Amino acid sequence: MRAWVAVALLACAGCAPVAPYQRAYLARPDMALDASPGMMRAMERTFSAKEAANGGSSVGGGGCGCN
Amino acid sequence: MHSGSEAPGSLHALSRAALALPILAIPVEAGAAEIGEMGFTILGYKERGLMKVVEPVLWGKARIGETWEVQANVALDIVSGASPEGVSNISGTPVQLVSAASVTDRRYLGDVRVSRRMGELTLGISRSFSEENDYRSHAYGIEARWDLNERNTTLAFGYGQSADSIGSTLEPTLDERRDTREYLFGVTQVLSRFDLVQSTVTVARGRGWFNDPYKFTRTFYPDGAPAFLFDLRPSSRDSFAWLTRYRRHVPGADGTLQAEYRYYSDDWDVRAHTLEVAWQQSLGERWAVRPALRYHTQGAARFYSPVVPRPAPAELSSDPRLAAFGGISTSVRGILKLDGGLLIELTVGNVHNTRDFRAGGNGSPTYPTLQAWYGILGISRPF
Amino acid sequence: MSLRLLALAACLAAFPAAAVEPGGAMPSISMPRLEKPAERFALASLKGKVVYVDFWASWCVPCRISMPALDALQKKHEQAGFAVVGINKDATTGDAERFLKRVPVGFTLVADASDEAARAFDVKTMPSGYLVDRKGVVRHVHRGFTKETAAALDAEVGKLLAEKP
Repeated sequence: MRAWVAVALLACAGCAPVAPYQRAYLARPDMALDASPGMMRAMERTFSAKEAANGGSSVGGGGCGCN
Repeated sequence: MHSGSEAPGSLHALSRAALALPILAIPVEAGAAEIGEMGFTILGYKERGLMKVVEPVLWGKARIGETWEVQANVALDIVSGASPEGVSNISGTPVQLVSAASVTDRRYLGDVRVSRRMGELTLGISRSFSEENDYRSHAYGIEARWDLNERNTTLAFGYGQSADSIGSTLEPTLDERRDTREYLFGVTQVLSRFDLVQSTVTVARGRGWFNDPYKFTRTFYPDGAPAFLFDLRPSSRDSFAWLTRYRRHVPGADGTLQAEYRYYSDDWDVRAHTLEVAWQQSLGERWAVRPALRYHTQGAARFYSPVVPRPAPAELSSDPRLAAFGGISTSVRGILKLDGGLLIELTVGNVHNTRDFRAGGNGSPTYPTLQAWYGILGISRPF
Repeated sequence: MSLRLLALAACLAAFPAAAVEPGGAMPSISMPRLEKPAERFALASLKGKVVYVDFWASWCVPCRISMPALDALQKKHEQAGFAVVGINKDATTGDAERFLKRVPVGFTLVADASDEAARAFDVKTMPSGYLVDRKGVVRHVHRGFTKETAAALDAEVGKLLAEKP
């Protein structure tokens, strides 16, 4: 339930849209939502081997020999 | 014997020497439009007293024509050193037993993603592999992204399916399967010229073999024979993960706030919260530094136990990954961007997991404290 | 579920539509020069020439081909009365200058920090280019930039230069 409310709020927030020519800050590399593929894989590897709570950002990744 | 991660799957890897050289050698003309980017990353991870991981990754993305894009990664995951085998209370309280011999395991991983942009809609398919001597995983994914509101809002829908084969170097006859389906829905919303947020929900349903063939629990009782169980987990796992990411640029400070929160829950009764906050500070035109702090807290799976009760239950695991604990990780990244687009990033971090860090207390009493250091070097360039 | 759809629908309807399209007049505005912000440059001063008004920025990936292509186009046709005006949409002039060090151009460059020019032309993508004839009428609008755009533009400029004023 909380998840759907948050999504609705997010959709409403878009009603003061940022024009295509105003995206100078949003286009910065440090504003990207994903780091480089290599960095993301390394960070995921570091933590997911020790924690039970994985996933959430993408689908279709293979599983692991998690021992 | 090894510890793996839930990282995306694999293609067969190339030799490491060949991986590093081509990236720096390709010339880039000034003013050329970028059609893509490629990079090399290497992770070094070391736990105090336990295992060591080295993982080189080679990745690339390229636009083909005006509407197609291809991304591919290959990685080699090398785990060596002592690894945990089981939990025994022979010394009085349950402790982790660690293998006497140092074994080196190699895992080959890779994935490919192809996508096509058609106006506001982008469709993509992906395939990934993970291969090692006692485990194989093949996965497929499809994803659709829909840009709305002059790209202020993007909706993402995804479906993924993976098929895993589990074996064991200790028990050559072991040949089990596990299938997982995942469903993803996400919204990315531009909030202003300075900030944006992305929130994604993933529901996964797994069926099949979840036991760890290398782990066991042995409990000695003063009044009788010791109780012994191999790792026994349910034959299904349904999970829910909700990940929210936020980015805000602060022009006055020439820095960007990056924050991320994930809530996780599954039908093994594991509940976890992970929060990461980072600040990327620009230092002039070329340099940036990014300190980060990550906090993770989780509750134990309902069948987690470091001792085998009597009578022995149908499900039990003493794997510390399923225990109740908290972890604090600090890291710093240094970033250098050179003319011509070459980007060099070096991250150094520490991972510290203990029972005491669990939010609200009640960490598993015998959880073995983890102390680890890691370093990640990444080099990339456009082409 | 329906609350979210209603919110999304409201957002979709919120966009203004006052685009400068072929047949419309080129807005008559003036902007500060990029490298000399104290001086202003008025688009009206180019009356009688064929003008290409291009909105660009260092953060716009296709601008890495459009900028050198437009520079070549200006050099080719300037004797015949063709001029390119580049309106920059970077957050700071420093970002624009760093880009120009790698990709230098010879045509007029102005800044539009207040978004006045972008709003006047109702720019819908980056980059956007408006080809204006000698009478000040917008004849072609190019959204985005590819190698095909450069070739098409060359032909269009040639035709407009040949028209009697």
